[in-house]
Amino acid sequence: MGQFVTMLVSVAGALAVSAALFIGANRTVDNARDRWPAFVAVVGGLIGLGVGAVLQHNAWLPRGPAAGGPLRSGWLVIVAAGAVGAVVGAMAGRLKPPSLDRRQRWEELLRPWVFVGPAVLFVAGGLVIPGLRTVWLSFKSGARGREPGFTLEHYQDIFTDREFFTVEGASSIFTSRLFIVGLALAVIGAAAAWASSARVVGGPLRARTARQFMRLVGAVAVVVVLVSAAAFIESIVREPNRSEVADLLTVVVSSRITLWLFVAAALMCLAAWVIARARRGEVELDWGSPVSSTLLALAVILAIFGALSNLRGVVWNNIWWVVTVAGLSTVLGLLLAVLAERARGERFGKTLIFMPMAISMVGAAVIWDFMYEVQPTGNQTGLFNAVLQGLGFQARGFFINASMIPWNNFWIMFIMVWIQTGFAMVVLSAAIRAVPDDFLEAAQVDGATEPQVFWRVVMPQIRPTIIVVVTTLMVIVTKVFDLVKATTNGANRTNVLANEMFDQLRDRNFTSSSAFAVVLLALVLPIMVSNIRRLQRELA
Amino acid sequence: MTPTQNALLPTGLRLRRLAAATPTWVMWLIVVAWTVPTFGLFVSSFRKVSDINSSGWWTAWNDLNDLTLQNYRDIFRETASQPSMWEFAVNSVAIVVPATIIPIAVAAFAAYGFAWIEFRGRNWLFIGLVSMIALPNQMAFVPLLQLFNNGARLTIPGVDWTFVLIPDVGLANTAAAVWLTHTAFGLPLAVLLLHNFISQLPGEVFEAARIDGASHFTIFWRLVVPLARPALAAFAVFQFLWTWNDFLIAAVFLTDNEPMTVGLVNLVGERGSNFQLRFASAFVIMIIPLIVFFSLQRHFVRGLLAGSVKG
Repeated sequence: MGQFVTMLVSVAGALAVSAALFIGANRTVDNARDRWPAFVAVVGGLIGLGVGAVLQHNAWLPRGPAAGGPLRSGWLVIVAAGAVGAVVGAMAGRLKPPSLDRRQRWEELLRPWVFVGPAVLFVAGGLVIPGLRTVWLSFKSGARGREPGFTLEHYQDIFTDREFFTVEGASSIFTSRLFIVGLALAVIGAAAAWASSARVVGGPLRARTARQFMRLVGAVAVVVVLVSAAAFIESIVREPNRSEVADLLTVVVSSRITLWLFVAAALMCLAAWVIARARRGEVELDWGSPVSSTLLALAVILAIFGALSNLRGVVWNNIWWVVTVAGLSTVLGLLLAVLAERARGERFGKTLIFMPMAISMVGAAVIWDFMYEVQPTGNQTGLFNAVLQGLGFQARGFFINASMIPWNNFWIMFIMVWIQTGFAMVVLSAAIRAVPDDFLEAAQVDGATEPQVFWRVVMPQIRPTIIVVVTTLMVIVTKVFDLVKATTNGANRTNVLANEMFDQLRDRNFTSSSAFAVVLLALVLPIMVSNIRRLQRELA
Repeated sequence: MTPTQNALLPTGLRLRRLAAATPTWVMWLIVVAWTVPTFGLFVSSFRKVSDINSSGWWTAWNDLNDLTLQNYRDIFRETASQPSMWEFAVNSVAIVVPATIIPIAVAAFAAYGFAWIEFRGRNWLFIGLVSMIALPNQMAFVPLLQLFNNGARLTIPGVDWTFVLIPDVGLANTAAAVWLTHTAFGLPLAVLLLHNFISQLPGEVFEAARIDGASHFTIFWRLVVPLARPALAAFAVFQFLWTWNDFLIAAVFLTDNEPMTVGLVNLVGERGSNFQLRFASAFVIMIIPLIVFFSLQRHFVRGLLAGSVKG
């Protein structure tokens, strides 16, 4: 109970002091015009308080009983200095007040800072200056940054330690199933882009060829997606990283012949495009066509996913997090936003999907830890493993077993997707609603089908919002910490930068902790720069 | 249309009809998948530890009499290893209330200043302040921790003079340190959201009030605050959820008087023992944000949209 009262008192006190400060500052500035002596007295008092505090805390005064030590015992000196300042100010204010014009200018000069000042002070003192100091600390030698001299060793430690950064796995990217499937999809997407443009601007013969070609492309794409999805699911269900479907697929897809076939196909597409363009200058690749843009988006995600799942180290892991969560959440959110447009009871459904946003990451970690729960014997109590058991497969520790590496990361990432999909959905849903009805009607009058309306009219309109959603998610995911802390705490190669930064901080390794923070900053720096550019454009 | 009639349709048409019907059930499938985990946690929080470890929560329906409130009683009772949840809850409230109100107030002042008071360098300052949204909070932890623990000193290199810039006022390990940190970290977004709203308010009203002799403070307090109430509410919901759910800042700056999230992580950390308590604890932590979320959802969504769609 006592704790509760203390809390109430301190909370009320803090709020009262803040309010008094703000109102007092406004009254003081009011006085600049109307009651000059009072204004000068207050300013003098403030200067006095400042001088007193500086004298006191630097112990520049002769040490009396009240002087020295922390603020508690030295407050008398400070108050005395403030009083002297106020008196001097009041006397100075009586001498000869400046003209009304000058006084008014004082008021206008100070007024904005009364309003803007607190925020600027907080952001400068709580973010900007500490941020600069973090950069400085990351180059200091010694764990606490107290030793003289600068060093690069903290960064060297990060980028030479195999645990944090290595390019060893890079060569296995090219045999990664996901990567090759991604490449294949990219080629198919390029072909679809060509076919789509041929259909739009080509002659009747070419249009027909293109239409048939598109059908073929669609069929191939469906097969590729289905087979790789099946292989992925099978690889989860069966032994981790071992799947008969995927093995077969690897033999077929990743054999050199197939690879070369794809490269040749890509080259031919490119050549066809260049020749056609050179001849007429009218046929271009229609990247915006539904099939090709979907395939390309999928291809990019798969290729990056495949590449990052083969690279080891905390830095790569962090980037993998960013790509996976930002990509999956946005795609799922967009899908849901579109589906909810025509579903009945969509508000209720949206609320439920949005709900994880209100749950703390720690809570989400507990929820999902339980979903992935694995029992060594007997009935499985985690939902996923119970389903596996029911289907006759072996249960697995989704992120606690070393045998799951690197896919244990994916299962933690999925918790983040669960949380952030609602955000993407709500924002994109609002953007879709904001597309002017005239556009949609005009498209329908022109005979566009529903998919065409979506891909050709809605998508270009909501593209800026998609970019905002993706960048916002990237910023959030780069800093991911709570989830990893509360699930694996970085064991079995699931570590991320923020978790390592926290551990170093707790061990009082301030300088190496700062270096990790700076690496984090480097990851979000491009987004910060683009945000600043956007703000500049909007305010101009 | 009856199924028989449906069967008479040509295959292509039937397929198309199926495709048109997909959206609804696909969406509801995802909705169910998204809700099941939370629901499972909720059910498990009422089960005995022996049941939790031997059967899945979906079997709880077989015998509803096995459900118990014991876990909830346990977490609110103080034991040797774990303080009562009440204590953590009080700490959470002590952190959250000021950490929500102070940034709103400061941001509202600033938003009014940036929107309606002319001064030199206004745009630059605004851009600089708002661009800090993307700065990882991790960039500020080490210096802030040092500041709260020791104050700030400046040593002039050549002459080796050390000045005390900010004295150590005993902020280390207090709720006040967490308030100040949350305020600084929440401000850039708060200023952006409130500025977007306040700058759209009708300027003529303020002009008229100025001519009638109202000071900026009067305008702010009598006109802007009442008019901007939706935006203030939107950000309040935002900041409340953020501070209530925060684990990182509390873990960095507090070693005792910790909020509920830290209590839960401590509970999760000791794997095995007290396994059944984590569900009840997690649910207790979730319940207040969920109530706020469901009752003030409209404000929350408005805040999100103001921050990202227009942004």
